[in-house]
Parts: sequence; C-alpha cells; structure tokens
Amino acid sequence: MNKSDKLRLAEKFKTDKRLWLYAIAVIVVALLIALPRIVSPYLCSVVFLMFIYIAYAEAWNIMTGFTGYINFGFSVFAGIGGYASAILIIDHGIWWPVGWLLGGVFASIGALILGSFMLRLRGSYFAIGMLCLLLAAPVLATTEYLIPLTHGGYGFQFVQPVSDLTMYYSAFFISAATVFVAYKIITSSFGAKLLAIREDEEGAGSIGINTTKEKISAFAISGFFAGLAASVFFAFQNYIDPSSAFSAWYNSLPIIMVLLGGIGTLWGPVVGAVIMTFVEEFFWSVLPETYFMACGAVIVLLVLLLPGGIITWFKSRGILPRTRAI
Amino acid sequence: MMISVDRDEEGRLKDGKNVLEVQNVTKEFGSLVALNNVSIWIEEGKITGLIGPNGAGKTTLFNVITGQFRADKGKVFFRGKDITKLKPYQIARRGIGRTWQVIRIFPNMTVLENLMTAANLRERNAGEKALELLELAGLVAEKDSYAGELSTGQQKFLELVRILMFDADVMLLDEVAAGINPTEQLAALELIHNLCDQKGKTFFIVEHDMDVIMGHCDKVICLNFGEKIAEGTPKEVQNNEKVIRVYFGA
Amino acid sequence: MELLIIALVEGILLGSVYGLGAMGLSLIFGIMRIINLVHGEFLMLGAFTCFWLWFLLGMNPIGATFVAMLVIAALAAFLYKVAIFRVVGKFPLLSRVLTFGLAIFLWNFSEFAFGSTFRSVNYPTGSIGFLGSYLSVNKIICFVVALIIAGVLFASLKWTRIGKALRAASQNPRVALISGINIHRIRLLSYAMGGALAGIAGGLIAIQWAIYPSIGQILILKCFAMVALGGLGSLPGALLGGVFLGIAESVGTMYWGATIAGVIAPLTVIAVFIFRPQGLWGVVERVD
Repeated sequence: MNKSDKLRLAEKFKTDKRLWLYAIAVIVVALLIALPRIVSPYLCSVVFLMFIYIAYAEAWNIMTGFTGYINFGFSVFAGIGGYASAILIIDHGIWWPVGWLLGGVFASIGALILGSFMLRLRGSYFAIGMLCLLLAAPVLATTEYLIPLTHGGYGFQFVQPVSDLTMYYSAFFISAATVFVAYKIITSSFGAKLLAIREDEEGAGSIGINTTKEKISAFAISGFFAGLAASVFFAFQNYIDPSSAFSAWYNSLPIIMVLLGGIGTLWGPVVGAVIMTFVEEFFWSVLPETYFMACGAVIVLLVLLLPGGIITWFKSRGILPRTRAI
Repeated sequence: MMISVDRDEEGRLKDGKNVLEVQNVTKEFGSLVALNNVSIWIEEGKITGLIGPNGAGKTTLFNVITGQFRADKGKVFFRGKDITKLKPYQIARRGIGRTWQVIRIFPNMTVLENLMTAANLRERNAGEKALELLELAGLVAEKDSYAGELSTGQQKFLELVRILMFDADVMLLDEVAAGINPTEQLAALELIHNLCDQKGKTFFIVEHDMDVIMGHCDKVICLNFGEKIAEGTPKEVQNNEKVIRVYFGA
Repeated sequence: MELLIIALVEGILLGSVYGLGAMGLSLIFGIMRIINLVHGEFLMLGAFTCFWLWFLLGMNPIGATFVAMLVIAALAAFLYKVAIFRVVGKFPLLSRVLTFGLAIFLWNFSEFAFGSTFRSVNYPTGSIGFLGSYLSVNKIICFVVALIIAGVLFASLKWTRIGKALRAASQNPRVALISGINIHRIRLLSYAMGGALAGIAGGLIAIQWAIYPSIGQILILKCFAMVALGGLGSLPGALLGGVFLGIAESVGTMYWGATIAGVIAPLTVIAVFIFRPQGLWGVVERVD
C-alpha cells in the first residue's frame, strides 16, 4: 500500500466511520451504565475489575508508553494511593470520595518526590531503580516507624465505605477520566514533548524541551490515576496489607495489558485491559495453579511475536488509521 | 572589505553587537585536547562558516556552545550574557538552535508532531505556526507522514524548521548540505539566505563543501586540531597559508 | 568489638557467594548490554537443582553444586537460543520485558512444581570456635569454593583466547564485530557462563540457607545492589560489591534486625545509582 492510499484511507475513515464510531461509543457507554441492572453481581464485579485495569494500564502507559521510561515500580504508587485512602477514610473518618481523591493526590505527590530523583536515572538504571523501590516498599511499610500509619503487616481489614454499585460507577468514571486525560495528553504539544523524550532525550533537550520537568509531570499524572484507581480497588477488595498493596502481580499486570494492546497508543491499554480481565477470570476458574506461570509465558510470547501489540499491528496493516487518537 | 569603526583591535564588534561570543574555550577528553583556547565571535544577521579537517573540533565547539558539553575553561556569551553553565534546553530557549551531523528528527512521530515538540506550551497558535513553517520547508503535503519515511533532504529541512518553531535567532547547522541532492542543496541555501536577509537570523554553519562556504558565508573560521588557525572573509581564509597547508598538505 | 568482627567475617563469607551470582549478571550486561532480570530465577533454580540432587540421589551437596552449574548453564543457553538472542541490541524495552516475563514464568513454574514450602540441604560439617562464637564449616567450604571459581574465571578471562575475546566484546561490541570475533557465539557463551555462575552461587546458597521458589526475587535484588556497587559490567567490582553487601547486611542485621537489613540492598542500589552511577570502583559505563 503506498502513501496516497494510506492518506485516502485515513480520510475515508474520518468521514464515513466517525458517525459509526460515535454510535458504537454511545451504545457501549449506555450498556455499561445499565449493566448492574441487567447482569449478575458476579459479572458486574468482573466489569468493575475491568475498569480498574483500564485505569491501571492507561496510567502505566502515560509514563512508560509515552516517555519510554520503563516503570517496574507501578505498584509503589498504587500502594501509596491505597494506603493513603484507607488511612484517611478508616482512621480519620474522611468522607469517601474525598478520601479516594486524596489517595490519588498522595500517590501523585509520591511520584513527584520519587520521580525528582529517580528520573535522573536513565535506561536500565531507572528500570532497576524502580524495581528496587517496589521490593523495598512492603518492608518499609512494616518498619516500626510506619506501623502507626500502616498498622504493619496486619493492614486494614474493613475498607469498603459504600455499596458495590457506587464502586462500580466510580470505577467507570475513573477509567473514563484516565483515558480522556491520556487522550488530551497525546494529542497536545505536551504529549509530543513526551514522545520526543522517548525517541531521543538528548535531541529533545536541544530543541528547548525541559526533559526533567516533562518526565516528572508525566510521572505525577500517571501516579495520580494509579493511586485513584487503587483507592477504589482496595476498597472493593475490602482489605489492604503490605503484600497486597505492593504486590508483584498487580505490578506486572499493567505491563502485560499495555504490551498486549499496544504500547504508546491511546486505545492499546484499554484493549489489553479488556482482554486480560476476561482471560484472567477464565484462567482463574480453569487452571488456578498454573495461572501466574501462564501469564509469564504470555509476556514472553507477546515480546517475541507481537512486540508492538494489537493496535500497532492493526495500524501497520492499514486496518486502523495511524493517528495518535487511536 | 570595509571595516567599520566600532571594532576593537582584534576585529571584535563593540557595544555587544556580537550575538554569540566564545572566549578562550578549552575542552579536553582525557588526554585529547578537542578545543584549545578557542575564541570566536559571531555577528548578528550574518552567515558564518566553520571549516576544518575531520577531528578538528568543529562539532565539539557546537556541543560546547549548545551546552551538550561543558567547557573545561573559558566562557560562552549569548547577547552579552554568560550561558556557559546553562543546560541545553535553557540555551535553546534563550534562542540558540542547532541541527546535528547525523539527522536527529523523531522518526516515529509525524512531521507535524515533530514541530509540535518544539512548541512553547503557552503558545496559542502553535498549530498554525507549524503549518506556516512546513510551507516554508515545502513539507505541507507530508505533515501526517512519519518523519522517518521522509527523504534525507526532507528530514534536513524538517530539522531546520523545527528550530524556527521555538524562535531561535542563532542557528548552528552541522553539515546542512551533506548527503542531499543538488536541487535540495540549492533550496536549503536559499532558505538560509532568506531567513538571514528577511528575518535577521544568524547562521553558524559547519560545512565540508568549499563552494558552499566560499559562495555563501560572510565570514569563515578554520579550526585544526582544536585550535583556530584562520578567520576572515572567505577570500582571506582561502588564501591563508596555514589553511592551504591543512587542506592540501603543501 | 568481637561481635563486629564476627559480623565482618560472616559478611565476607556470605558476600563471596553473593558475588558469584552478581558476576554472572555483570558479565551478561557487559557483553550483551541487557539487564538479565531472570538472573534471580537462575540462582533459585540452581539452589533447587542442588537440593533435589542431594535429596533424591543422595549426592554430596558440593558435588551437586557443580552439577547445578552445568544444568543452569544449559538452561541459559537454551533460553538464549530460543528467545534472548532475538532482543539483544534491539529497543531496550523488549529485552527488559522479555527477561521479566521469563522470570515470572520460571518463578511460578517452581511454585507449581516444588510448592512454596521452605527446604534446606542437611550438610552437617560441624562448626569451629571463633572469638567465643561459632562459625559453621559449611560457610567456610562455600567461601573456598566461591574463591576457587572466581579465580578460575579471572584466570581464564585473562589468559585464554576465548576469555580475551569476551573481554574485547565487553569493552566494545562493535570493534569486536569487525575484528572477526563471532559475536553471536560470544553472546551465547557469556549468557551460558552467566547462568553457570548463578547455578553455582545458587547451589552454595542452598547449602547455607533455607530455600523457596520466591527467593529468586530477593536474590536478584541483592545482585543488583552488588553490581551497582561494583559498576555495571565490571566483574571484580561485582565480587567486591558482594563482599561489601554481605558485610553491610550482616552488620545491619546485628544492629537493627533482619527487617531493616532487608532494605539495605534496594536502598543501596538507588543511592549508588544516583550519587555514583559508575559504582564505587568502576569506570564510567555508558548504558543505552
């Protein structure tokens, strides 16, 4: 396919299919809103998880997909957010929406502080550094200095402040907000600057991009949504302790989802999260013992067979237009 | 050539009319002296050429000016202000743009996005400005292509206008005419002249092609083994004994 | 004071074993410029190989350690041939995520196959009195084995043809390529050697400690710390880093308890990366 064909395809897509897209989007949203009245609570809880995963994956993508800095310490921010909201809501009686929001804010502040020195590291150094931070976090949370705040290894056992239905809509709203913000970023010049850092950080500096500031901003935004989604997730799970808050599993999940869908694309994380939610449910019910093993194998196969992810594959085949908005 | 009265004995413009001044800069890499006590000054609105054999320190000099390397000794002034210790992005924002010997556009981003990376966040009409610049570079039709898919010549134009996106006044171009076809070379030189004459932009260019240097520069500086060996009008430099010895081994 | 000396000696004994594992990580990084995130699982599998050989076949644990070396070297070579070679020298994200995925796979494979119970090799060699305390002979034997292996490795890197080729490739892969060294074989060899070192270190760990499948996660962290201290890509640095970390942990445990000692490794990594990225002794290495 030559270039003019591609351009024409993109134009055609814009005019013909845009209406269709809007129609489908409206139907999907309406369906998701009505879902709790239609299907069983179990299925609802699966869709709830899906929303959380979408927010997790997109948050991870805002950092790693856009700037190219591999964040192996995603759970650090999810954990900070979860703990902050649990402490505020349970121990200090803060109204739950404010508590959740503050969970996001604290995670964001954490990202700001950690980012301001971790982001001086490049490439492998940053990746290893974040992994170390993740492994240190649960130990730090159980040290005697933090036990008054975190309740040590015991954690919090009753976190859920509201009904499952409220949780469902909150998660829906949060995932939509995360994707919307990612959209705003990637179609703005801020997003272009982030991509420039991913492509060539030194070159980006030479055209006036303050790479440190932009990276830290992306990190803080990513941290905010990670913390916000985690607040709701831990409320739903109804307990939080060091090993669940900083779990290695929820750390790798966004990586798998983003790789599956397409790293650095807007909708890739969403696609990956939707697929992984149902794959996870299926695997849990069929082979709970080999589940994690299977996930490791999936990561390996994805890197070897489909390194760009689904969305990127579609884009390179010309099935989807190559715009940042997809 | 007329020499105006407001110059000091070294030929330096007085009253801060030199937009860029490099004073006694030394840069060493281990035991290798890449730049040895080099002083140069660039006049505003002129095209200055920088020549010298491979390894003479031309790119190192660019890197010191734009903050990629920090000078071991000496200082760099831009519009009379010391910029020696600023970071590359700060120097770029003051108004010094550069291109690289090996093209450094962002290949996996579209042409338009490449320009947007250099946009000021607070600028409202960044999109329109980018389109104007693409027109200048003859790249409007390619605005949504990935930059990596462009020809070498187009990539050089893109790299050049990307500097204009953040309103750089001084442009350091590293081998702008290398590796592109003659038609594109002419177009590039015409663009440089237009920017120089109409918008008062200052150019400092590294070039191997002597025709380009002799035909288009107002002033030429020659480096060899990290030292400045000649400076003056193209004619003067062309007839300079040291330069002849370096280039022809005579 | 006597307690401190005991902690120091324990640290040196422990650190030499750690250091072997870290040297493997550093070797792989030096030659392939990838961070081998499966390294912790190599160590864990080395430990389990040693354990099962002792447990099922009644082998001498030291002998089993050498078998573990061969087994893990073969595993590493297999992984390289099947997967790793495809991502070496490509976009760095790929190698990081690939080795990360392999680590998750091998870790959970062990959880599935061996269960998550703690196991240990029973290798009674007694202990000797030392400053009013006791040092187990196990640890001393492991220390000697580690030193011998390190010595053999350094000697072969220094004097054999293949060792010289490895060092050349480590200093500059591109130069090595044009000077007629077969870079693919060098990479395969270095990856297998990295695996071999991890296999030995794992076996020696099984002789001293209780082992369990998720120990790989803890061990790789320690390896990072040692490699960071010694400078990425430097082998003597990794060994010294191992001794340094061993001392820090054993002294740390003595004064502050095991919990705090557990964060010494990760915090060391971060501090060293930020303040002295070239390591305590190493030369400046450019990454990516």
